[in-house]
Amino acid sequence: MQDLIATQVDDRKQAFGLTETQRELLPLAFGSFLDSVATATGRGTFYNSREEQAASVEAAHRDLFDIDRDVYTAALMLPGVTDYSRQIGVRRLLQTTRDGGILPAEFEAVAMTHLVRGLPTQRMLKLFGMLRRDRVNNARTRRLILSEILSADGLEFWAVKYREKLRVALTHAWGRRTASILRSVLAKSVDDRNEKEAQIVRQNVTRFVRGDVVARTEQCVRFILGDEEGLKLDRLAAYRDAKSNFDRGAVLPPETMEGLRSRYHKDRTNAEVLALTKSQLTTGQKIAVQRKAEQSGVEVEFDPAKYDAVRLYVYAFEMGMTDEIRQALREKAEAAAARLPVQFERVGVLIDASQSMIGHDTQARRPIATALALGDLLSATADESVAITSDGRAIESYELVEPSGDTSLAAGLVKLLKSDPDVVFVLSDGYENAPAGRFGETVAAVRRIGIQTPIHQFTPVFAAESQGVRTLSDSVVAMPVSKPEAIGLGLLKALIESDVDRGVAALFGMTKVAGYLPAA
Amino acid sequence: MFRKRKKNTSTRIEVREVLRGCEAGRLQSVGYMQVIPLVSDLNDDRFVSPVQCDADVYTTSYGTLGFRNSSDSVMIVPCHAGYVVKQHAQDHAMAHAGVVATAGDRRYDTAACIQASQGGFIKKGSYRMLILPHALREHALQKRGEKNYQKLWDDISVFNQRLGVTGQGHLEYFLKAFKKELDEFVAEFECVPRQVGAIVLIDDRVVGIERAPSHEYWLSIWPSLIRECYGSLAIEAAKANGDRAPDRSPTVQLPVEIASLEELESLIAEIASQEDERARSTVRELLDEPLDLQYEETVADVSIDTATSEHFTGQVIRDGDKIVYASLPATSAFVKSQARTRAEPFAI
Repeated sequence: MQDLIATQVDDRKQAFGLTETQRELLPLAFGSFLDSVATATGRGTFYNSREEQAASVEAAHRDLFDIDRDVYTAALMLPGVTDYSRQIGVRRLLQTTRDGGILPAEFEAVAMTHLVRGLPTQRMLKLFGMLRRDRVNNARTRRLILSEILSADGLEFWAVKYREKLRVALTHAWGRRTASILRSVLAKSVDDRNEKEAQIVRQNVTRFVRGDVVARTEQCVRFILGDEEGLKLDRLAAYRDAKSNFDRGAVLPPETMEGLRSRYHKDRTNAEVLALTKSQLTTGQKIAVQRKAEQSGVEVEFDPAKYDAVRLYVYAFEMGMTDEIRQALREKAEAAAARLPVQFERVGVLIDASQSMIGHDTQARRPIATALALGDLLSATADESVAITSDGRAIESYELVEPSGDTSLAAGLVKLLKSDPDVVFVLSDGYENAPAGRFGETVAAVRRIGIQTPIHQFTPVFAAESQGVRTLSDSVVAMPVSKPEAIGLGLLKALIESDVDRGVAALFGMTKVAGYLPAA
Repeated sequence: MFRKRKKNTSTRIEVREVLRGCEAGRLQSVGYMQVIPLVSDLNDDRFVSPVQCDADVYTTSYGTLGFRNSSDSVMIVPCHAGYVVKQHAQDHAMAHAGVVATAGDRRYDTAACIQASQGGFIKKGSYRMLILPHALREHALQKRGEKNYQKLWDDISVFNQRLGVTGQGHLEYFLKAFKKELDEFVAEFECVPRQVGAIVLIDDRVVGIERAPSHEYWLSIWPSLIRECYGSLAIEAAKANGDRAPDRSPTVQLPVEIASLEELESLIAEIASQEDERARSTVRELLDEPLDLQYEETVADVSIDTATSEHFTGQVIRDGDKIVYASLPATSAFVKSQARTRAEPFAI
């Protein structure tokens, strides 16, 4: 397993200055952290409430952060870390003053910008809301909020879609008094402003704007702060006008128009809103509204190639599998497999298809969708593959498997091993009940027979009660995974457990922070 | 015919009537608890649980628990359903099962408070349902006719004390103290397709028989049964074993000497078939047990009877001759009297 990422390791073990204590504490804290950040979404699971998840995630973050701030920051940048984990990480970094760390200070600023820009807009704004709730309002925080909002290319679109969230974030960064002054000053034309007013605008708005779009940005800020007078920008004006003229809402995001409909056009239907605004649907919305569109008789085209494999599986469970989706899944699995530094001749995949793999109501079928997408990816890494479910069914790649029944994985493991694979991957939430312990007993028996085929468990659900993922056997390392591309996290966890220095080097290598490393 | 029956009229049936149309599924076993799923093609979806229909639950006075069924199905309130709410209100539980007609509202003034020294009434709303811990159910059933909201306080105090929980008459203290363990029970046992019931065993001792009218009904009440009702008994078993973590190895273990994958495969299959036979035999042993049914009432054309036998005490709900719902926890005497029969490792 170490060989899988050895190619990416920049061997600078002496350069990081890890202390003996850090070396001692890192493997456990890093493992627990990766278990958490790879799968935690801030929602309940089949097994744990939202609050339990949150408490466990916080503990995992705190433990790694306390060991080394830069290792923590780099870990947040790993591919496959969930947006929720990144939100928590950025909040923690902003909340605390930098004191030490094994990399130069500028690394953290760049990393933070990278992390925030990687978040979808609504999650970035949610992060800003978290900062307000937790009263984090230092200079770094204010600068981050203002530069990310005021320099955004899509600020006009954001303004109509997330108006209130933006108002809250900007007011948090400026303070209520400044926000109120800005609203008054921006209502005046540039020529009518006195020097002091011009300076206030420069200080709080203009200096964060990129390029020659100051006038556009000022208009957006006015709109966000509640001033709709004399708006010229198309979307902003449409928002104002759509209150009286339904058809003007065609350029607004569907949910914005739906809000206006429910307040100002109660005689109109949801279906009319969907028909009016379908050209404004985001990529994510196009897949999300398919059922509603079908029921409303509105045709909304979506391109499966633009969605990740897990999302496509969740969609296919709801709307049915099609050749188009199957083809998209195949292309994604093959592309992701090509990026992995590993190829097998023959892979065995055992998929837990028991009832618990349905997941919690708030993320229905996500665990089984993740397992199926991961199974496809692992199968695509090999010339030949055999995949079976926990109830013994042989399955083809890119097909749906409906979870049901109890969990018995031992017979499936033996069946796979009989096909003489290079490696066996078990994709399971780690809860075995028919009976509990049989899988571990079987692994032990297999080893006693003399078969040393590597067996790895990937777990697509976060089990907060055990501070990490549940293992099916003491001799099989369970690795968390929330999406196929996060498979590298599991590999990194295994490396840090066996060699801390090489693991940290691999971490910095994978997150491309080499430019900040001191010369070897 | 049931409408003509009077209270205290009794009938005798056998446990096989309760399990009619069911067969035993594969045994699930984790730690101290084992579950034999009862699966059936009989699926009576005329009945819903409070969970299924999002029933409004409320209290109007101490000891009176109300249910509003706004669905177009008859609602069966599971025997000993209870509600622990995050309000300044006294938590309550039923002392028996209930039936609420379609679009009906029913208040039971025989309910029990399960949170002493807390005032206030539960506001009308939908809350998470629990089913009383196994150790309290026999007491609750014995007192099902009493209109005394304090009737379970002493029993709760004894129960808490036995588990090392302080809090006289407060069930929520137990729930809080063992939240993690109770949640795990829900996670560890999965419903199987067509499942409408279960025989639950703790440490290989039969501790209850549960039967629901339909698979959907079963899915909705199973978390409450496994968590508070039978989960509490598993916690008691752990306490009785000196708080030792349960043995997580399978009941019937693989032999140490195995020569090949083929042998291992056949051993796993053989043990599974042996376990299946054990499950079936557990069910078979129960079939002939006589059950005395004491008529309680008829609502919406179904009757509620209190069932007692040498080993079980609970309630059944019947539609004519057909039993649509049954909850039969083992008596505490039976739980204690059964010898634990931990199986030996598999050997040919």
